[in-house]
Amino acid sequence: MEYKPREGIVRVMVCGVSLLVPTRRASEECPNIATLSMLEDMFWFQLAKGRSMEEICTFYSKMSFKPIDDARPAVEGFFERLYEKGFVVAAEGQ
Amino acid sequence: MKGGGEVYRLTLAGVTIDCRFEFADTPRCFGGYVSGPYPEGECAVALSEACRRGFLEENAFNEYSTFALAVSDRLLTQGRCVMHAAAFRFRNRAYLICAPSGVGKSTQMKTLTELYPGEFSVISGDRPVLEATENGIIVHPSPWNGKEGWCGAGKAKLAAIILLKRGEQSDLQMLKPRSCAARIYSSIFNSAEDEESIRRTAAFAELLLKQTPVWEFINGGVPNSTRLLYEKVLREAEDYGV
Repeated sequence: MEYKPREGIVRVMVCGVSLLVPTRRASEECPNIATLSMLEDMFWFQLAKGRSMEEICTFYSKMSFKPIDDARPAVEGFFERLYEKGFVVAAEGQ
Repeated sequence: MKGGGEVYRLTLAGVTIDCRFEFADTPRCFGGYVSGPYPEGECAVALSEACRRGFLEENAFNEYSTFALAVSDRLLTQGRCVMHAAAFRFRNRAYLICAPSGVGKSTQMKTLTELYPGEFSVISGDRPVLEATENGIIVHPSPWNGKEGWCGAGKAKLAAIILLKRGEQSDLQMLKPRSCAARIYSSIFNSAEDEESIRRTAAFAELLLKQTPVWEFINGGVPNSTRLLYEKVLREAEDYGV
């Protein structure tokens, strides 16, 4: 599945930690705040730039020197969790 | 009863905010923090439609209670905020106990005053106002003092934040800022109406964390947990001359 950030999700940094915070309107569908690890922050940054899942997996594969099939679960698992909590939505055409 | 739409002046931590209340009885809930009405005046803060949607019931008490969101938004533009915490004063320093409602902030405050009579006073039982100054974070009293109505102590410089949670065994651990950033952010009142509001809140949370030690306090049951808090956090702060 392809994803995109939900409108109204704001990424902020507090003491070097990335938080995803919903605006009041977005919080009706996503009432949580997420704390991202450094790696997850990179994934989010890539998504916010409009990259596809495959592009993000490729990016992580190159960065971590892992074969892409080994890199894929971390990327897909992260975005599946964000989807369940409402931080991302299915991209158009899905 | 609905109000006449006059403007009242709310003064908190040295900042004066013009407010317009929907209900005639709301100003009374703010006590000495509010003056007015002023028939003519530009209203700076009125309860937004968004906040109004959060009412359980539309009445003066709920307007007074949820006004903290709108006021904190305004205060955040001036280096201040309203925080969800119980604030107490111990030897001229302020301490905040932060936890969601019902976890036991009031019980800890009550037990502290029972075990160590005369050593503690309450700045605000529910929502103190914090002010970032050159000399540190100052904790101010506010009109929101929780169901017990605890208040009375004057302002003091913040020494530590205590994040309270329930658990099997009482424990206290100092946390790194990274591991409590989300909890501290969540404790600051803000309407999150737009991105700017969120960014201002995050900036205040960062300022707070850079200057203030944060403890995670697992409460396994009073009074032993309260004694642990006293010995490990309050006495240590004294030793470090905070």
